[in-house]
Amino acid sequence: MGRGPRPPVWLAVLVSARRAAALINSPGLTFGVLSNWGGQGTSPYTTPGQVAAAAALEAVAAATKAAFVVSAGGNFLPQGLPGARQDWDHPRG
Amino acid sequence: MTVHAAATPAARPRIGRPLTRSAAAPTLPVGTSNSPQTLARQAATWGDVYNGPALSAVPWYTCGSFQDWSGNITAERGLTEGVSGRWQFPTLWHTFTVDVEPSYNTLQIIMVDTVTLTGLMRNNPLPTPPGGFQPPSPPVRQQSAGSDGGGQTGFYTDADVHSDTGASHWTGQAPAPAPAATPPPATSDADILAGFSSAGGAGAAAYGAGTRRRKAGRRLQDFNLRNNPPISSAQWRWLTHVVNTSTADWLIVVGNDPIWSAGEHGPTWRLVDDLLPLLDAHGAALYIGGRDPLSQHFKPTAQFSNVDVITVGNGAAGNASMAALLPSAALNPPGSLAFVFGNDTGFVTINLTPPGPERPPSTLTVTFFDSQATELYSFSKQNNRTPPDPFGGHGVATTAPVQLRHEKLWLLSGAAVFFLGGGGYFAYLAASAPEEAPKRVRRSTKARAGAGELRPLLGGRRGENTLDDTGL
Repeated sequence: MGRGPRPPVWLAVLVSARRAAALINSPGLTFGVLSNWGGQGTSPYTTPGQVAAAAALEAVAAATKAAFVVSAGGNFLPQGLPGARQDWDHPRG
Repeated sequence: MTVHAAATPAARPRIGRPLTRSAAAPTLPVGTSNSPQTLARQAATWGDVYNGPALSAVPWYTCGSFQDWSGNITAERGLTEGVSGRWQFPTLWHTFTVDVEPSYNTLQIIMVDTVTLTGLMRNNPLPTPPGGFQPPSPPVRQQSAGSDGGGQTGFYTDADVHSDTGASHWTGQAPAPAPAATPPPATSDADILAGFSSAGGAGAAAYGAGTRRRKAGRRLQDFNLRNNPPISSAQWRWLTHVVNTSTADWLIVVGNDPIWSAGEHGPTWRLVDDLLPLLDAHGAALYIGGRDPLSQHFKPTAQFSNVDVITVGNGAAGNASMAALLPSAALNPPGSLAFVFGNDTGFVTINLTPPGPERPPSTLTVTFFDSQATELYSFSKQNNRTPPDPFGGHGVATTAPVQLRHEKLWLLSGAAVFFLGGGGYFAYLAASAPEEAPKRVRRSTKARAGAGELRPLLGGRRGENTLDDTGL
């Protein structure tokens, strides 16, 4: 099994100190997931259901100390942001 | 909680180091991302809605959907304000790794852009299953050399994507051979462009007819993403590389198009054929999709994979009739749909709880909520993936490829230096030695002419002319 050079001992000590601090702060990891939350195309650019779910997400995120939110697209419904996008010329996205 | 993220390629998790995010490649000029309209829309839809103290303190990782692509997706990407900003959309596809704190577990989340990954810009056609669900055996994949331009293996043709041949390949029947020199089907460039224009696309609204006409050539190409295999294959290469080299304990992949879905959009066959086996081979735990305004959970099935598939597409609209109809339910693996909810908007929380500070198999729990924060459904699962060594070892799927190759390389180069260098030195000696010997002989014969044969007898050393000194 290939393995790189072993890191020095002081690094391991630092790591464990950091882990110990983290253990006190936040056990585990919680994050929120949602998608297709992007409101609507006309004013007020939100939907009542979106606002309600946002409040609920806020409450749950506060209770579980959510570390981040992952959105699987659908950011600005129904047609995205205004304007023409740039031509895609970036080989890495 | 620490987040270390990387755009491309995936950085290996660096545990115990102040986390730097290897920035994405130098960003493009992002066009209208700073325009007042863009900022106002972002604030109205996002910034002023998800603005509670808990949510405004954490990053918001996102990717694109077909709606985002039909507008200005480069502006969405350009809203990313560096690594510390809340809106995190650095590139179309990106990945980040987080530590699950009390343990050495790490979680890597990979955000893919399924629009370019699948080449599906429009709605998935709904194939009609003749005999219900029949898994493909083996999966038939067309290799097209025509419409996608490059002859990319596995890149779907127009016929695959936009007609009922999706059903034929799904039922395991070999697709009918495409007739040679077929004119491009009706759902081609012009149709797609017409579709966007008639749908009142944002680009069409923002630009006059003249601009639109001038840009038509360019827009034909980049709207027609199916015919742009470089984008798709670049992302497939990136994705394969990321999961191959990932050292994280947990893998979760996020994209807009669902792998399985019972809603109007239904399963995404390209992802079923290509992404699901990839994720299964690398022990990914979860795929998160959207698209259909439903919350769904598809349990892993023995005939497919150990990957749980969820969709959480009801962020802004929960459509009760959609949930009641479930038109694509028969297209998914039988018995896999464990939960579906579409009567209301909702969201999901995912929790990774390691039971102890050592290296335990932690548990992943997915919980579905509705808009009243009522817990609807929850499931837990153990990891499919063997946790890698925290100090740079490799996980299950990555035993060989990276470091071992480098070690071999070092060995090889060391051996090359040793043998070539040593051999060269000896060759130099061997080549130079015969030249020096005659010189000495010549010099000594010149100095001691006529006395050469007596010297060994008298015992004189080579440098001393004993015969001349004694006068004999």
